[in-house]
Amino acid sequence: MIKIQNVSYQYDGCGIEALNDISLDINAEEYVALIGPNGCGKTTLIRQLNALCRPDRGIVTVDGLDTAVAANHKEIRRAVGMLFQNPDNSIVGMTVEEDIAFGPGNLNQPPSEIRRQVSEILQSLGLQSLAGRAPHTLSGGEKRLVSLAGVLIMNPRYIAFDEPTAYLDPTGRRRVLETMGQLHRSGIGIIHITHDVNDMAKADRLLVMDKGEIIRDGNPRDVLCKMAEDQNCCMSVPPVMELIHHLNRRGWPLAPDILSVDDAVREIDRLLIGATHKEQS
Amino acid sequence: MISFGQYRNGNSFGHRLDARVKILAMVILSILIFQARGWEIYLLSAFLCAVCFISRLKFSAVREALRPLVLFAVLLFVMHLFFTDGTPLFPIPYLPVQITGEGLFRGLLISWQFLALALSGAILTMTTSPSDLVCGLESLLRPLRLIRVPVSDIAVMVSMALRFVPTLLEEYDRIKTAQMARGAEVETGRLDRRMKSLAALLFPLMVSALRRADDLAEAMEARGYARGPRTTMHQLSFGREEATALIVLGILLSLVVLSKY
Repeated sequence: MIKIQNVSYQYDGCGIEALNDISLDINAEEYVALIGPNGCGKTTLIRQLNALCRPDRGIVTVDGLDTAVAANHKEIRRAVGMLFQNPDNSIVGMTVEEDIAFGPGNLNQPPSEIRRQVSEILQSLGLQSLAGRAPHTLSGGEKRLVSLAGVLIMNPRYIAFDEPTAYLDPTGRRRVLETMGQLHRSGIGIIHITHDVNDMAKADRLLVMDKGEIIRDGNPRDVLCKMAEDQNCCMSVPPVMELIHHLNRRGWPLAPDILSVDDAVREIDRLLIGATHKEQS
Repeated sequence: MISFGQYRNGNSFGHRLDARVKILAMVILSILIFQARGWEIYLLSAFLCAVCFISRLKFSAVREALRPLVLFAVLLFVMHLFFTDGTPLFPIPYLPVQITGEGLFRGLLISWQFLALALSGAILTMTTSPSDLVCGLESLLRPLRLIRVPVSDIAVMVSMALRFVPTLLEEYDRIKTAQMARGAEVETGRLDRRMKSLAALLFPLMVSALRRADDLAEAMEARGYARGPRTTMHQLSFGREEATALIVLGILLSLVVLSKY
């Protein structure tokens, strides 16, 4: 479990609290979506999980290991993988396989073992054909998957994704999201920063951040439902939910926590069929 | 894009050879080229041609690699031809320079040395992948660890620099297109304006490179990188082929050294 207790953090010379007294527990195997406007502290929060920055006040522990203790960093970075927003700047190898081998190399594993692990990961993500390719020749989606492979080879228990589908075409997006879903099913805890309302709905838990604070935390249905009701909310909710709330306000008795188009169709059907039955009787 | 000595995939003797042996051979060849006189020039030229042949490098590929350097070789030749003291071969009327026999000899020698050095470098990089090259370099420099030279960090730095060359070239193209779209005269127009536009290109490129470096450092740290020794997936091996190459190199070196005494 990742425990964040009363964490505050300020960037040097900035004078603004990027994180303001945040307390949060993230369970292993949980899929957490993290949303909020730009500059609200989402990336700063996930950087805390991997000990890339340490709290000014408060404690962050990953499976009991305190991120403030330098001796724990190697183990923490193995446990919490990070996928950055721009994969171009996180691919360090001259070829795909060398990049994936970077992590085990840092753990001083023998070359034969590294090669075995690299080949396993390439196979599991279906990236064998890219093994010898130079990073600058890959597409956006491929770059994300290569970055992910570089993280997965460390056998992390949690992975934090910073807007993994940004700038991707629908195919690349689908491939990345499917892989994330598979990882979650295989027991890896996922922390997913996103602006996409459809992605939020897939999570087990939704966290909403604003100005360095967590302003909402709960089941995505409940959180989004409350956000849809709140006229002053700075974040957008799924268009389907917005539509249902508009209809609700006009007197249609629809369930307010509908997230998907299929559910909305079913609910409207139920209502219309119910109305027809009433008329007939 | 500059294609000097770009790696060409292959499975020839030259390609298979351990990168350490190839780097060592290049260092020895460079020394031999610098001190070569008379028949040694023919011997070394023949040796370099033989290496190209056994590495199955096409003549066109070698010509392509050396093409950008021919101009410099010609320039070196001309400079030595005109500005070396000695006995004039024939008088040149109205000009304060003269062509001397010594100048002609020196010009030819220096141009040959320059091209031979470039060729040996090109053979190395055309037959060795950048990763193997870095790995071989790291392995050869390993004894320097004893005097606290951070060999692994240097190897990571070199590979990082090689990794980001194409990315920065792409970035340069992107910034150039953006500036041209806003009316900058980068490729056309008066020279002074082009120079000004070039400065406007280089500053954003530098800022972007620094930002990338920051992000990269963070990504490396997140993947457990720390200064000090680390392993890689490459495994260098010294076998019969490497021993053969070293023996041939040894014979070449002994021939040249013994001929001096």
